[in-house]
Amino acid sequence: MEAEAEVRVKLPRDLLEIALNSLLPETKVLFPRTRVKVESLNGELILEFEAKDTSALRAVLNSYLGWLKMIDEIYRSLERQKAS
Amino acid sequence: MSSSLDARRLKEGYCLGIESTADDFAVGIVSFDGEILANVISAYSPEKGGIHPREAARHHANVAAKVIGEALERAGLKAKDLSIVAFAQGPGLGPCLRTGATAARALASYLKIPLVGVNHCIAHIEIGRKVCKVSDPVTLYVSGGNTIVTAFAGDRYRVFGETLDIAIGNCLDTFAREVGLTQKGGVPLGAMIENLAKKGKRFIPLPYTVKGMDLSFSGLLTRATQLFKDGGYRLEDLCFSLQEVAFSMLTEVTERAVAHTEKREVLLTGGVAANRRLQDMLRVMTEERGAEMYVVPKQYALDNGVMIAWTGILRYRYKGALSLSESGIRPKWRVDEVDVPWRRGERSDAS
Repeated sequence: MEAEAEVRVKLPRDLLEIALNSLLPETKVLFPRTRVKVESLNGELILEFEAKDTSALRAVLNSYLGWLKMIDEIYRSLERQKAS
Repeated sequence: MSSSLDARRLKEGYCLGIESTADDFAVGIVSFDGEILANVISAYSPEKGGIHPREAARHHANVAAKVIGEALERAGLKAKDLSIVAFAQGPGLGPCLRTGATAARALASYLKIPLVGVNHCIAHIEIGRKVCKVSDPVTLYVSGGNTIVTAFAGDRYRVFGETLDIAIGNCLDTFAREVGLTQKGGVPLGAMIENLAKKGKRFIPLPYTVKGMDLSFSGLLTRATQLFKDGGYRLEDLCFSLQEVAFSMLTEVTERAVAHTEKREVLLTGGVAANRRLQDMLRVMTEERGAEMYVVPKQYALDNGVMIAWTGILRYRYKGALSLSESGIRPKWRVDEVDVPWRRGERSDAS
C-alpha cells in the first residue's frame, strides 16, 4: 500500500457508538486497492485508510467521510425530533 | 426466531424500510398489520448518460436524513415509535447499497431496535402480492436492472427465465440515449419510446433472442441502434419494432412459465410495468390461458421503501433480526438463494 491517511473525529459518546456500529461492517468488505480500519479511542472515532495509490485513497476517503456526514445528519435530525 | 423476541412487537409496531439499490433513495413506513403510512422517494437524475454508482451513492448520502425525516412526518410518527428498520441488502449497485445499509444501521443503532436485510427482488414480488391481493402468481419483474420471470415453487422463489445480458429497461433507456432522446419534465426515457412507438406504422425485423427460458436484449439493442444510425428508418417505426420484439420475448417466456407451473395469476412489476403495450400483450396471453393478470400500481412498481418495509416485517416474523456483522451488502443476491419461510407449506407442485 502506497498511500495512507488517518482521520480523527471527536464525537459525543452516543454518536460515537452509532458511527462505529454503522461503519464497522463496511470495513469487512474487502477491496483489492484499499484497506480501512475503524475504531474508537478516548472519545474519538479513528479512521485509518491505506490505498494502492492516491486515486484509490481519495475514493475511499470520500465514501467514508460522506457516510460519516450522513450518520451525523441522521443523528441530529432524530435528536431534533426527540426534543420537539 | 429468537425466543427473547417480544411477542407484542410481532403484532403491533412499525417498520421503516430503506431502498437504495440503484438511482433512488426511498423510505417507506408500514405498520405490522400492513397499513402503508409513508412512501417518500428521492431520485438521482444524472444530467446525461446512465447511473454513475458513486454519484448516485453520494446523492443517497446527501438526502438520507431528509428523506427519513419526511417519511416519519408523513406517517405522523416519532422515530421512537418504530419497531424495526429494514433495508435492501441486495442485489444492486455496491456503493448505493452500502450507503443505504449504513443509514439503516445508524437509525437502528440510535433507536436500539432490530435491523432486517431484505432481498430487493423479493420485495417487489411481496408488495405486488399485497397491494394487488394476489396469492400465488408467476411474476414478470422488468426494470432498468432486472428482467426476471419467477414463481414460488419448492419453498422459495424460483427463476424460470431471466436476461442473459442487459435488463429490458436498460435496453430501452440505452436505445433512447443513442438516438438522442433526453429526459424532460420528469418523463422517463421508456415512456418516450412508448409514445414514439404509438406513431410507428411499419414493423422492422430485429433479432428475437430467447434461449431456452432465458432472454438476451443486447443484440436487439445493437441492431436497432445500428439501423437508426445507418438512416433510412423512421424513429417511430424503430421504437415500435423494438417494443414489439422485446415484449413478445418477455410474453413468450412468461407464458411458458405459466404453462409449466399451472399458476392462475400473472403479476407484472418493475419500472417497465407501466408500459401499456407490454400490459396488453401479457393480458392477451393470460386471457388465452384462463389466468388473471395484475399490474402493480406505479408507486409500488418502481423502486420504493414500502416494499422493503413490508418484506422486512414478513422476514422479521420468521427469521428475526440481523446482527451488525451479518449486515454487509449482497450485490449479487439472487432471488432463488433466499429462504421464504412466510410462504412455507404452500402448494408447490411446479418444483
